[in-house]
Amino acid sequence: MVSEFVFCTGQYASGDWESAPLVASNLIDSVARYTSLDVAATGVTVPLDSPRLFEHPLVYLTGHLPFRLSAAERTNVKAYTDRGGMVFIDDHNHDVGGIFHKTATEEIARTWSPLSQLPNTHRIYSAFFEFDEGPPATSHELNGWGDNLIHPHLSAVVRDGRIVVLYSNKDYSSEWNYHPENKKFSSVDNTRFGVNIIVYALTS
Amino acid sequence: MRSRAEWALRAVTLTALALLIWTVVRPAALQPRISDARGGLETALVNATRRPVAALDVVVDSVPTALHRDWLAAIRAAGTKVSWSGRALPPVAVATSPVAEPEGRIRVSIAGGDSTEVVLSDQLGAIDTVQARAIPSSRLLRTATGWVSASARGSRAVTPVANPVQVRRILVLASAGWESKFVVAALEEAGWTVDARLRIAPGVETRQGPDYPLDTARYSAVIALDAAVAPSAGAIERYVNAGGGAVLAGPASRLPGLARIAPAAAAARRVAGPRTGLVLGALKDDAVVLERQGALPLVAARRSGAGRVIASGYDETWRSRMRRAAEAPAEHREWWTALVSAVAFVPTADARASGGDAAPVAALTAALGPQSRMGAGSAGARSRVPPVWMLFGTLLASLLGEVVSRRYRGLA
Repeated sequence: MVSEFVFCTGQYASGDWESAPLVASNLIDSVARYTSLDVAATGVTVPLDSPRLFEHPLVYLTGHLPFRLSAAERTNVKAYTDRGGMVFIDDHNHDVGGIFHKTATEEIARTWSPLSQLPNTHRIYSAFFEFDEGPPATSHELNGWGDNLIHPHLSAVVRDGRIVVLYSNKDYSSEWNYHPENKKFSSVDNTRFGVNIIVYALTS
Repeated sequence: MRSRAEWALRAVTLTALALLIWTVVRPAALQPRISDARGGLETALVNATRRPVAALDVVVDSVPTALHRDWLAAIRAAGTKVSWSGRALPPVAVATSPVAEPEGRIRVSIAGGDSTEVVLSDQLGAIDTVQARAIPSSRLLRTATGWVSASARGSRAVTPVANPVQVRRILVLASAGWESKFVVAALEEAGWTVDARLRIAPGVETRQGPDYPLDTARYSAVIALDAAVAPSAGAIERYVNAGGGAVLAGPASRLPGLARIAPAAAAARRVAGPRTGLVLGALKDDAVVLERQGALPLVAARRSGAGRVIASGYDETWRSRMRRAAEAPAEHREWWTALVSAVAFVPTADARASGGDAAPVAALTAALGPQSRMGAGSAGARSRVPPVWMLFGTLLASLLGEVVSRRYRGLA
């Protein structure tokens, strides 16, 4: 299918953008498993300063290290969101005092605008599965790793009612970074919120 | 000798008298020419109405008003031979129609002789200058006040500004995907109120807007983007035949349930370009191709029942929006708005505009026939009867001369 959804991981010049390599295949598996959306079997990795970024209106970014965009990346990704693209950034450290969080929030403010708290009643929590209490907690939060906090909210840059940048401190990158085959060992599929993010991006 | 002179004077007197009488009762063929010097035409029409004449030759330097044209036509219908001539008047026609879109723009269509320079104005003043052509060209105006006129060298076509139409909601039916997302976004940015029903999984769809039934009381158009609309095909067909508009894009155009209303069906062949899409095939006889790439039809339209349907082979227009070019979103928005406007249901009463003088030269020709070749400078049309003052003076002089001659007959 020409219009199928292709999961896109963004490659940026600084940091370790490739720190969660199994997230893509895991979320692709979940989208195919739960929905009838046309989804490509494999994801793609696209540099943030590439014109190819515009072929994928949802891009996923993660990392542990300092997050800095080059001028070309910043210009490109700004134009990308101006046209309707959505950026999902997850702090792989799960640490509000960590270097990724500090640099990423600064970069988001520089490129778009400062993040604001996303209410737990936002449509993204009911786009497909229902999450009545907001973003699902991750095992890293529950186990007290990182900053030893359970973050009750996600943050976002919202423009005209649409999420332009979705930012998470919850470390979904660790939570979803496993082979899809291993879902059979879980009583509840912890990637379901990932399906919501993709469905939201496709419908809002 | 004196007797002969007196007879001659009597003859002159009688002739002058006869000519004076003739001047009063003579037929119009011998009337002097009538020029449209404003008051002149009006006066001539009044005279011709009060005293029926046989012929009237009107020389104009601008197109007579609708009132004067009708008056001339009435005089002609009463038996007077009416002809008109004058300098070459450029035929100009103007029409306004509302565009079925939220922005409420007015489409002004102008036609005229090739390369005629036409000044477009409204009640507040000049708007633009355009080169008119036999095939009408059009301008989209955001606002126009009162009336719109197109003027060119003595011809002035006037038409009232059409009332903007009140558009209704748009319904988008599709699977969730980039195309449906960006079509909804483009239409909302253009000001449309968009409801959407996007299928995500079997039996699961995300809904935007209220769950209204598909009818012309609520929706101006329905947009079907893919095969997910198959369960709604019957409702779409009924809606279109009742007057609604439909855009069937990509795979939706080849659904069996929509075959009766679709102008064409998307084939398998794909063309590349700013908007990648599928070539249309199986064009119906009454389908009109609106857009091609080379010889390949990509967009076609037809009427079905009381409604209109467009089939578009473009199934990935979102890619044209997601280009780096700054104007890409606006172009995507404009393209979809134009497509929806072309089919959108508009109550007929709202779309009508009447009055004005939209094509004055054409109306003059329709009323009085083509311009007479006995035009300006034709001596044949002039009367050979001397003016009244000359006849009266001659009459008076010859009468006096004859009387004086008789009084002084014995003095010589």
